[in-house]
Amino acid sequence: MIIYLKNIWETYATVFEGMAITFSYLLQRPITVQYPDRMKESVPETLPEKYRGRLMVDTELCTACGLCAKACPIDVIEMKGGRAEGKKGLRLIYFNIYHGKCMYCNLCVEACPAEDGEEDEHHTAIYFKKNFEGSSYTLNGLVEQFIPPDEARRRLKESEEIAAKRAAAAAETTKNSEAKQESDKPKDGGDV
Amino acid sequence: MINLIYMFVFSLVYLLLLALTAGILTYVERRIAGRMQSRIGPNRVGIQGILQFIADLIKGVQKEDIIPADAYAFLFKIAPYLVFMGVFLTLVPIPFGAYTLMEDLDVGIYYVLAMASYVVIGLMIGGWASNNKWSLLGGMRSAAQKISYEIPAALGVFIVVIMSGSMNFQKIVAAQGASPVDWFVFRNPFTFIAFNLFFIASLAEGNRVPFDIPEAESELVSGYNTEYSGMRFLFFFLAEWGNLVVIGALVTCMFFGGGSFWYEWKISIPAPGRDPIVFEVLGFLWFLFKTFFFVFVIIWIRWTLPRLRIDQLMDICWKYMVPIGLISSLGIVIWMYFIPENSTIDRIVRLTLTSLGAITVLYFKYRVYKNLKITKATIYANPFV
Ligand code: SF4
Ligand code: SF4
Repeated sequence: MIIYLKNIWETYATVFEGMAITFSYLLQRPITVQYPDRMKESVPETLPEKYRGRLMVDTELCTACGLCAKACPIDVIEMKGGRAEGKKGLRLIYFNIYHGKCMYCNLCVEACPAEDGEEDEHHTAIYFKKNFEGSSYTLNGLVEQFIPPDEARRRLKESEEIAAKRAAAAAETTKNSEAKQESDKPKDGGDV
Repeated sequence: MINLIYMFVFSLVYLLLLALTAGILTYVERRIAGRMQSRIGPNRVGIQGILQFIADLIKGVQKEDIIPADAYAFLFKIAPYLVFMGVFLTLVPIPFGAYTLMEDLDVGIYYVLAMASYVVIGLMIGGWASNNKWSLLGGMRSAAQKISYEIPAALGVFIVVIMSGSMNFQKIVAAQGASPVDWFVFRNPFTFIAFNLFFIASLAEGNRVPFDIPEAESELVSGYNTEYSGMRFLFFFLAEWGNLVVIGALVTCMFFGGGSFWYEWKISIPAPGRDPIVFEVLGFLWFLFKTFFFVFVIIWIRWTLPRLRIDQLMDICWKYMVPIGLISSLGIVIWMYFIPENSTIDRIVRLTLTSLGAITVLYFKYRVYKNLKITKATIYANPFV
């Protein structure tokens, strides 16, 4: 009998408590934000410091070393570097990121050796933006080409030319050196 | 002839009003649910989303009306209308004002109970005709539930009928008064129990949480209306929300003094200086206010409590509500025999119960305040975000 009455009492008491809690929520401001069109501040500003949004490459800073492409476990980054006129070292020919594949693991960023010397969150050539928008209706829309195709073609040609020139020059040098070696040899006759 | 036209027009107006109210209630419920879950709820269609239900309606009408190949087509088609009709018919004897009612039935309460059980037939038919085991289970469950809970509901009603000495809603309202002391809830302990019995049983009869076992979205794939689509599906929902109004109105009539203002109910000859129309309108508004308060409470309960298991459901009915109902219907008879109305004891009891009610409300306020403090939230009472 006592259990019986206790059950009834507990039913009412717990329902009462529960209803007090839900009512208190009725008096609070909802936590939901109305993204995207009714926001008071832009969303990226509200994101935490180390938020990983879309990948971004600083094509000026990048040394086209290819470490990021090697570090990526799922081949998100497709890039190629080549020689350029009036520049020491390599220059990017193309740099494509397949955003649809990326899992934001940060491995590429850790691998990147090119730094701009600042101590902020994106001091490397490849870094995460805070922007997460950029949905697309096609899979190809998720491929971002940091060097536009035309430019890439031009650069490819240029680098090929340079490579050819250098190859030629190299051939010349080898020839010359060979010739030198040849000439160093005792002249037994025969043409050069 | 003129009577027939009059009847027709009136029922059309009632029907449209009920449909409109049910539609708006779906929107209100979703907004309240949103706020209780720290969300916002629909707020895009129209000002603050008030036209959401019309958008839903248009969407429902556009959908294809699918009838499963093996379903019993005729019964499948009429089931939603039966359910909706059952809910609509319960409105007939409910007095929204002293004169604003469809028909002043002498067997008002009896009629309402009968119509409430009539809904079961619609649900059963819908569940059975769909030729789907989930639907059938849902229909069976709802039948089992409604039939069991009819007993406590009837016992609650029985106590009210004994107290007021009539089954006519007008007389029941007239037996109460304008002030809380005169309401049947606070009249004596047994009527208070009757209120609890009736309210809980109505929740169960209306398939509302925590008694929404026939619908149980997560286990029965929505129960008896699984196979329905488009307009027919909407009819079930219209019935469900229309039922909220009915429950609210019934509780108001039977336990909370109906629309009685600070004047006598149904004054046939208004005292000088009293405009009957003004009082009628005020009474009507007062009635609506109480009704929608209870609708709010029902919605609030829905978003607070989890669903019961079927054995718990039956436990509550047969082990708790029915015995308590039986004891209190015996108790009310003894009470009425030994303690005449307006005797000293009667007055003391009334006052005590009313003040207990007031204390509960105050304590409730305190608990809400405490909860707000715990969450360290700032109060934002504005319903619009
Ligand atoms: S974040 Fe990970 S998955 Fe994405 S590009 Fe970098 S290494 Fe690849
Ligand atoms: S690791 Fe850094 S510097 Fe090297 S290719 Fe990638 S982005 Fe450029």
